[in-house]
Amino acid sequence: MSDKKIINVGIDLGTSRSVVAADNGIRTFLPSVIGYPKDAVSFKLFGRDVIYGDEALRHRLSLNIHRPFENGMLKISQDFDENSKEYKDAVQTAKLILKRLIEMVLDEEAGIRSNYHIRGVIGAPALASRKNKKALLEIAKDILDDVMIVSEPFAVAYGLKLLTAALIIDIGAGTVDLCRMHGTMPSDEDQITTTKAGDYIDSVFYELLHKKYPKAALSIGLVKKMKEENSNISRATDTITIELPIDGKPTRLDVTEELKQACSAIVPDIVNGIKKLVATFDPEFQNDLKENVILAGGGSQIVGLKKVIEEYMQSNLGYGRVTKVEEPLYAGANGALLLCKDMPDEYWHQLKDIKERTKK
Amino acid sequence: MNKASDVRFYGGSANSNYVVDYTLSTLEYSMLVLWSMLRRGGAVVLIPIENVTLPILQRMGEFCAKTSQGIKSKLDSVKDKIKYPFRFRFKADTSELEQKLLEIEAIVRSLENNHVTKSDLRAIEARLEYLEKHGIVASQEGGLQLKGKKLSEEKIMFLRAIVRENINLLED
Repeated sequence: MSDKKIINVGIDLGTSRSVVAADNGIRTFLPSVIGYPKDAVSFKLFGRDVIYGDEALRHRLSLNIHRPFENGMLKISQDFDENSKEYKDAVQTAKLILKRLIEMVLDEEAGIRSNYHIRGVIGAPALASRKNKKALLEIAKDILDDVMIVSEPFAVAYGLKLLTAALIIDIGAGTVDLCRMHGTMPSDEDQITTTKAGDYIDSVFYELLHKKYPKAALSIGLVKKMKEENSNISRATDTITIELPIDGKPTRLDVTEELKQACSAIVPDIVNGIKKLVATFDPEFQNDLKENVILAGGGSQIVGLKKVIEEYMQSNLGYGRVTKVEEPLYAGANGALLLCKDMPDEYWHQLKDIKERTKK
Repeated sequence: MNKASDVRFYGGSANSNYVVDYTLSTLEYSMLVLWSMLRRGGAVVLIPIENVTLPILQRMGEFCAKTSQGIKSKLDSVKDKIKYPFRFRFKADTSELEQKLLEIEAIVRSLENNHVTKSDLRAIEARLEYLEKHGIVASQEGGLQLKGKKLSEEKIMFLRAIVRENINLLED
């Protein structure tokens, strides 16, 4: 290893997007989607047997689409059997996404893969089970030379250097993770995970639109795109209209109230989570916590969400100050990268020794 | 010589002193600026140095050298023609002036001999790059030292906990 260049990477394998930040300067993401050509014709069209990310979404009609993650974890049943076909297929699909991310990191490098020693830290949902974390280790096997798993909101806190008196709310597509930081490793009591997140907003928005405009041709993908472009729960907002096909004819439709209602659907669980974490905190430091509520993840971009949470905290907890991170997409991966870089070499070696011992 | 001539003579000498002092200071200042620019990063200022600063310094140096030679030769030519009782005072003034002119010449010579070349600057850049790549920084005691990862106790505690958790995962 001594003559290999070490590359540190921070990885966030999200339900909707997988993100990587590396210390060779590469920061990128791809939708957590892969596609396999449906038949010989589509195989000939693409010239390869796996299509990734945006390309897979664009050509989804000619591909069998697989999304390996759900609710921030591998898309398999809770009590999965590691020897089952379902588990192996899910791991294989996730491996392809991780492998593609690493290829994107190495694109900038002159040498071949064997010239590099890649160390990675992967973020997992706050209350991911041990089985799910081990599944992440399995995914990283043979792709990363060294790997560690950390809680995703903790990685966000570490990257922002907010290790004491902060409440991190990471709003992703699959999960909303709340994590309270108080100068020690967060325990289960310090973390809450709710599955009402970005994908939940999409499903609520879809249902509301279908109810209001039954003749409009809708798909979850279309609805998701519209949400990401217009997400808003602010009271002071202009009318939001989108173009949808009705009987094949593009028609401009007012979706203001439906979008607001859909985006607001995740707020109750978030504010209940905040209340629980603040109320069960040491009373001497509760004000410090209320002062430092941090919104991260794609969902933090919902216009008006910050204000709604502050108003809730004001009326129910006496005070609240909410801040949005500057780079919501990269906050988790950036924090994981910083952890990876800060991790002393001897700790990596220790982990490697244990790994080799347990293999035997 | 009458009093008016005294004033003219000593005034001239004083002016020459002033000019020489100013020229010396300008040269020193230009060299300090050049040195400061080099220390900040040679390659970035290479073109301005080559195309602007060095030619200016060279021309200034040439000018100063010629001026100083000119002044010295004039001084030499009139030195022995001054009659008593002004000779001693004149010689005292001219020797101070001569000393300053000699200093300027020395600076000009050193500029010409130690002309910074493109390859010198490249070598400085390469050395700086090597130092930065290997995390070597100047130490307070003088010399160089390796820049180590300085992590706070709090961070080390977190990192240790993460490693322990991952070891438990592997041993499960």
